[in-house]
Amino acid sequence: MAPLFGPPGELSEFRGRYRWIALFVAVVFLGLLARAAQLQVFEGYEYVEKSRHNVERTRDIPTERGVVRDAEGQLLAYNTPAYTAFVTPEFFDVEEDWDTVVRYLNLGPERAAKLREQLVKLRGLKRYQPYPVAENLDDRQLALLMAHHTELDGLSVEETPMRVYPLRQLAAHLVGYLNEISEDEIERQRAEGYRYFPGDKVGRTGLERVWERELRGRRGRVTVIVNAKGVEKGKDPFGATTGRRYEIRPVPGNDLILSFNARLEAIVDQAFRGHPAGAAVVLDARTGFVLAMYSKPSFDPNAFIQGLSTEEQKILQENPFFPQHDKTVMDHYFPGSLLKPFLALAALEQPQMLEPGDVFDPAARFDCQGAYELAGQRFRCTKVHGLVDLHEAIVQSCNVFFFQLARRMGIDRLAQIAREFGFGSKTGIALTREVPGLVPDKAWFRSRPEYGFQYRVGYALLAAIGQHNTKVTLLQLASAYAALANGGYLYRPQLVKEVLYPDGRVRMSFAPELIRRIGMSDDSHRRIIDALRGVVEAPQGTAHDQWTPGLEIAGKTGTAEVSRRRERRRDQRTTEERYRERDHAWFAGFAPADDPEIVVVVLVEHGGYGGRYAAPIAFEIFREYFKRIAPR
Amino acid sequence: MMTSGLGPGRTRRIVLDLPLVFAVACIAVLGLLNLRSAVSVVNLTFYETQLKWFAAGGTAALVVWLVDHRLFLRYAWVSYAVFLVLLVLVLVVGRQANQAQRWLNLGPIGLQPSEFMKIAIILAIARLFHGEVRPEPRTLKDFLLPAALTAVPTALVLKQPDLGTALIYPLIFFSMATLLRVRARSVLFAVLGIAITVPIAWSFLHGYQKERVVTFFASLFSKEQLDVQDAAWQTTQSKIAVGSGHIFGKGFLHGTQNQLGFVPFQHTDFPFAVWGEEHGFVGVALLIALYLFVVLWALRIATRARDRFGALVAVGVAAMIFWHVAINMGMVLGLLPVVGVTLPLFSYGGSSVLANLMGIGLLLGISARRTGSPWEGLGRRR
Repeated sequence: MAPLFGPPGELSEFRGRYRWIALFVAVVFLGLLARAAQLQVFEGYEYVEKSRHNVERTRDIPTERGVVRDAEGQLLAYNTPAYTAFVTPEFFDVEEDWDTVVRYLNLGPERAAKLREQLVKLRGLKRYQPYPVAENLDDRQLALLMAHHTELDGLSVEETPMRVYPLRQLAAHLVGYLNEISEDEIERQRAEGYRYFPGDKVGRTGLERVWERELRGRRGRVTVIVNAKGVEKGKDPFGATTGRRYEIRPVPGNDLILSFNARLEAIVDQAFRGHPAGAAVVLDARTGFVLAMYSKPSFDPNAFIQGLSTEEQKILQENPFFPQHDKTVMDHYFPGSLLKPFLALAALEQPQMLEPGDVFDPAARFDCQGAYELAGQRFRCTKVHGLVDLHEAIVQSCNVFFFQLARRMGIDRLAQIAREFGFGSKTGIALTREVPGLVPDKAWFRSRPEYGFQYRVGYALLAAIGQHNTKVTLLQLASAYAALANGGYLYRPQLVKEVLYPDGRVRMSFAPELIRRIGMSDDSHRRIIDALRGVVEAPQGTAHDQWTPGLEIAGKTGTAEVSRRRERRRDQRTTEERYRERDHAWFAGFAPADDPEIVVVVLVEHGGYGGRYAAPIAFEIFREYFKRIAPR
Repeated sequence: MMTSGLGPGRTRRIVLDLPLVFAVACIAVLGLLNLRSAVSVVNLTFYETQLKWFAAGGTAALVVWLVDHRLFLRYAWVSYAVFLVLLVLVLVVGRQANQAQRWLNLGPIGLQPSEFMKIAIILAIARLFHGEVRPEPRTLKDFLLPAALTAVPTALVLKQPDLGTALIYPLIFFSMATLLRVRARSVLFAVLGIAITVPIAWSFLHGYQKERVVTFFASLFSKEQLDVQDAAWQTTQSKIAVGSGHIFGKGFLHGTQNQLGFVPFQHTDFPFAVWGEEHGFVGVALLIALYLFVVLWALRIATRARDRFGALVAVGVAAMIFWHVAINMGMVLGLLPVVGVTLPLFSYGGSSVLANLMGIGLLLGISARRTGSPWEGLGRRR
């Protein structure tokens, strides 16, 4: 064994080395100190800034959309707290974790694939803006996410307001719905100075769309402290938020107060029971404000918020009655006999327009033999009326009388009066996709190749009974009948009475908007009203069946032929084909007849005879209105 | 005198190197507090576990201090052999963490033999040069055996892989070798030899290790921040943490970089970043001063050692502490690539704490038995 202890001198080998080692150690440590001084003292501010930048994120936060209320304060659209699952693309591993998220959220394969694509796309641009992948989470989804959120980077759950349409189908067309904004639309809105982000909801139809600017409010911006994974500090997916600093406070959207009455809408809906398709409008005859706008069938706007699946879309699209169409403004129809009172008014107001030699007199009688012959063509009447004057012609809806009137007046005068009452142009109600309808005149026919650029007298006859090329919307009819009822004041139909700030102060208030005053003498006015009363009250009146004592209703029935394609013999046609060949049934009227308060226009698609099918619905609306909405 | 070895009065005196104990205690307390902050984002049980390890380490240091280091001299080869076997065992049955196989499970506790191997290598090399007293300068041949003693465990540790520890072993060896008189020609050869072996060693590195070194050197030459990924990201974030501490720091538990998870491996490899962020330049200077004191004090103990073994061991322990501190701080401050080297008594890890405190115990023991000390001849065989 080597000697464990030698003489002390053995240590001399090491002597002289220690100080060099110590020097080396000191130099290295001084170097470290110098480096620390560089980072902390000289570049300190820079790093303070960097560390702040590291943990602070500016994030846009949504605000609460304004609510929509009807005239009585009933909510038509509001927000309810719900939980939304968000994915922040920057921190989320789509390849690794998306399938897990899909499982937890129980997303359908189609929707999952669409979202996945979107998330991959978003990794490019708005990586730090959380993107909503599932809204209105149910208890099961919430529980799963709560249990597993720590395993899934970039997934968060936040309480977000969800839009609710409590009336569901009832006012769907009118109120509209929201759905996710498209990329193009984001760009468009941005060009106009409005900031939207992928995943934002935007008003797609109805009032939600038209009043988007008012309802939406202003997005806020907030600075949040995040950890290295971008998860907000002090914020578990279900907890409260701390450490937020508002850069811009969000401003809630403004509320809409409508003239629309949800209870009346329900009455209309009830009146339409048993009919698969139709529409109705109820206006305030004195102001043009909409009290009810009804289109059947309808859809549930709540289903649209999260986007329909292809299957749901298919079901909606294949419905033969076009549930998504608002039939009061988006479609136009032949008005049929509903046009006759305007023709009568034209005759009463301007007899000098008539051909010379044939002195027009309201009391003059024309003989109706069930048809009118013009240049070898027979224009048929509903029946043989015998001698009828203007009053009787309206009461019994005699076509022959109006054929003669139209022939003498000419189509241009006819078109003129119709246009005066607003037909042929959009009413200008604040709703989307309103159609103008069509009021043809000579010039129109001469511009159309399908008519050989020629006008024929027969066209005026067909126009007089609201067929051929004359097309109107329900809303046009309603405002025109209101003008007829109130002595010539044509009001623009309006839905919104007031826009309120979130605190309840009035931001905008809307007065009735007169489009024009249509000149008519008191005498002509009285005669028309009397005739329209006769439709209901006279025993021969087309709506006499509906006459109800105590209700002074004036109105007009109409039956509009639909284009028929008779390819097969009647007995071979299917039920649906036979249904589709039936005429549209109309009724337009107002009450009380002498001091009109409301106008009701009813269309029963393929309902058949107006007096039998549309009038009962209108009368039920009148009855219930005066019983339950505005008892006298 | 001292026929019995226990002279009355003098021998009962406790010879404890108080400045060293004080400095080490300071580092330990600061380290524990810092760990408390570092793991507050992860899991406070790390802190509690570390406290237990400190208790164990303190006890171990006490025992080592009391035991005459000649006992370590005697069993130096044995301890070396034992830990070498354990290092092999780690590769066979070890536990993995962070893609490295470094731990041996002993019931509820996991031990990292590579940490203790540092002490074993110090003891073995000291043992080797203790007896080889030469009047003439040494040649390379004299270093073949100690080089082999270092190379074998280094290779084993590289296999785990643990680049940090694999660096420390040779550095300890070289540091201890500086004490010896060597022929100038041999030094030249050694430098040449290293210039040749480094590229070979490079080829044995794992992909991620190479990547780290490359990104580091690339970042030295580029003002631009490179890809904010992995190694470069870790360095960037740790620099931001330390730098944003500014002069006085953000305050205990208030380092946003740490608390929000931007500091990587904040309790194992980067506790110094947490310290720098929360206590600023003042705290950093204090800590560097404390480590500097400990290392210089260890060298002072070496100069006054009773025997060659003691001097060599003291220098070995000083080297072990020095290189850990220098590499770890250099890495945190962005001067060195990210290699997993712990900061003594600051980093979380039982084996590391235990090995470091045992090293301190060795220093205390050598200091207590220095020339002229009442414990100098204690237990001396006649």
